[in-house]
Amino acid sequence: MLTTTTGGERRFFRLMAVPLVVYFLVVLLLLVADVLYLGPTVTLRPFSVSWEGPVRFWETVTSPEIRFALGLSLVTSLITVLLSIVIAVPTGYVLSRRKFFGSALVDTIIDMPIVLPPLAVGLSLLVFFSQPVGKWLEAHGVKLVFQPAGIVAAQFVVACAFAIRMMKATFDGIDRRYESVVRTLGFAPWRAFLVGCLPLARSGMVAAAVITWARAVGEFGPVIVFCGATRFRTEVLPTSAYLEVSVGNLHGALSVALLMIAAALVVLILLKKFGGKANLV
Amino acid sequence: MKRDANELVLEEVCVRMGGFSLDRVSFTIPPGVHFVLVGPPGSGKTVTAETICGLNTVRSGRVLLAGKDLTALDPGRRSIGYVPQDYALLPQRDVQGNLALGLEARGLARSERRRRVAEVAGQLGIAHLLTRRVPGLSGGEKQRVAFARALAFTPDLLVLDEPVSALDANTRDTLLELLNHIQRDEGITTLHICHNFEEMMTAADVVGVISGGRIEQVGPRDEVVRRPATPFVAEFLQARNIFPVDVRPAGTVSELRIGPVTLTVPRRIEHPVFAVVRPENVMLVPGSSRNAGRVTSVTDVGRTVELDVEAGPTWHASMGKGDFLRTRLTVGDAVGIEVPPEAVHVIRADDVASKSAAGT
Repeated sequence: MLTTTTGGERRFFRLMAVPLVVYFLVVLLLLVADVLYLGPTVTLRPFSVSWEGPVRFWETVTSPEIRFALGLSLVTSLITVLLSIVIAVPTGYVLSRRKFFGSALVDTIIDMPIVLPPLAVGLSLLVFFSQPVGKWLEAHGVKLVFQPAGIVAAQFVVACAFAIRMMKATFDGIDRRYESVVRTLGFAPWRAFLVGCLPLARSGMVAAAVITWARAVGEFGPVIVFCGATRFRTEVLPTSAYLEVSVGNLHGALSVALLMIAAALVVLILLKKFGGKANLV
Repeated sequence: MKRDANELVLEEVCVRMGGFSLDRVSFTIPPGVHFVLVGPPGSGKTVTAETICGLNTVRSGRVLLAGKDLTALDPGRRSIGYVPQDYALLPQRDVQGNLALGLEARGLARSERRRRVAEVAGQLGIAHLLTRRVPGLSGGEKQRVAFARALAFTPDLLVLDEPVSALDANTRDTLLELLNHIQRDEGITTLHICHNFEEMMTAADVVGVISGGRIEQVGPRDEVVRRPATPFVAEFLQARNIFPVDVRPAGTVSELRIGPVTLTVPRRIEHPVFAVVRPENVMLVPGSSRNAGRVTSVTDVGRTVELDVEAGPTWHASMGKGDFLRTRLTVGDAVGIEVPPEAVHVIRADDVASKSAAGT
């Protein structure tokens, strides 16, 4: 891409780039601080290198508690992603393609978990299962309160709202003419959706899945309120970090946090690769 | 391959789309005819096309193809080849994947699909593009692919929504020629939407003019161009001299007075009229004192030269390059305006008033 800039334009962009540099440094310094805290300690006089930090990091992340929390985090977050995509694709499609009586209200209520304080989501779930409908569900096998399965519910309530928002935006960006033309070519509505719309939403689906996963794996407030923080039962990575901090083990908490940061980096790279706009003509 | 062509009939079709509505749209496209629906932007052309394809809900009226009522039929069961304005080729499929869509929907075997795709690609000169991805195609190539996709499943009707409006003039002419050739060769009934006069003249057997969701006039192309039913149709079809006139019947002829210009028509008219004269039918006689005017502008537009002449109202004339070079008219020259009697068309002013009243 050829870009020509004038002197005025250059000054303008330099000025606009100041906040960029400041924020970039803030993020970078935070990451560097984490790595330095857990990294080897170097003493200059007399020169020595202590590997205690990395050793303790390795011991923490390979401890049975953290391995359990990592496994539970991965399993619950992946189930949340699958459930969220299954719900978000049709929901986002309907919200994008149809205006119905009360659709604005429905749209707003679906967005609520995005803006609600996470703690409130956990409390709402807890309260719901103390009410008649919740009790009826529990009596019929839907046992979630202080259960590992409840982690999925707590993650899902918040993460699915993000997935729906992303899928709606994705479908909004896909010209409905594709489906219309595919229908005139002889396809029934559901096949027209599968042939003329869903393939164009692939990038959006990947992006929604990635964001949903990142949100789910980092969910803390609703999980701890709704499922508690029982070791080897309802302990996910954010809970582990919290438990380590609560007993004054900052090194252990930071080790868990670094695991989550590494996961987040992988997610970000995936998002940059697949999360762009659908490639439309 | 010539096939049995089908007649399309729209009977009093009403559609409401937000603030816009199609108001009792009726016309018939005889079997095998290339029908061009023209109108200004926002007049309801695309809504009409989409309604015929089943993409809009009809509030009242009927759409019939070959005598079969399509009004409530699913778009996929109408057998209409639709080419929308922006072609809407699926970007995730290559060209042959796009061409095969209609055949896939009909459950044709892979070998049969390949055979038909190759056949239609050959017909449209895109056999070399079959494995190409859609995003890399030029506008003209996309257009050919869209035509081919619409023709591949041998539809009963072809609906083309501004099929060449986004293309450059040369590509447009080539494609229109190809389209006309295929349409006549296959004998397929075609509804073609456009807003371009030259495109309409090149493609149409029959023309319909639509404005504000209502059909203004339908008829054979030359008839509609020569005898527009309303001043709107006349203006839209570029008959730029449209004047309310003072009529003087005299025996079996009538004199129409437009400022200092008097035209004679070979019939008796006893009611107020608009006179309509196409610019190419206005002859300018240098130095003549009869129907005298003065040239106020001369514009060379390529194949013709457009001249404005002040004679009471402004008259617009269009001259071939040869004629213009013979007269060598320039701004300020005195000219006489001559119009052959058969080139003067009159529209009853009370018809226009009653149509306007009906529209309000």
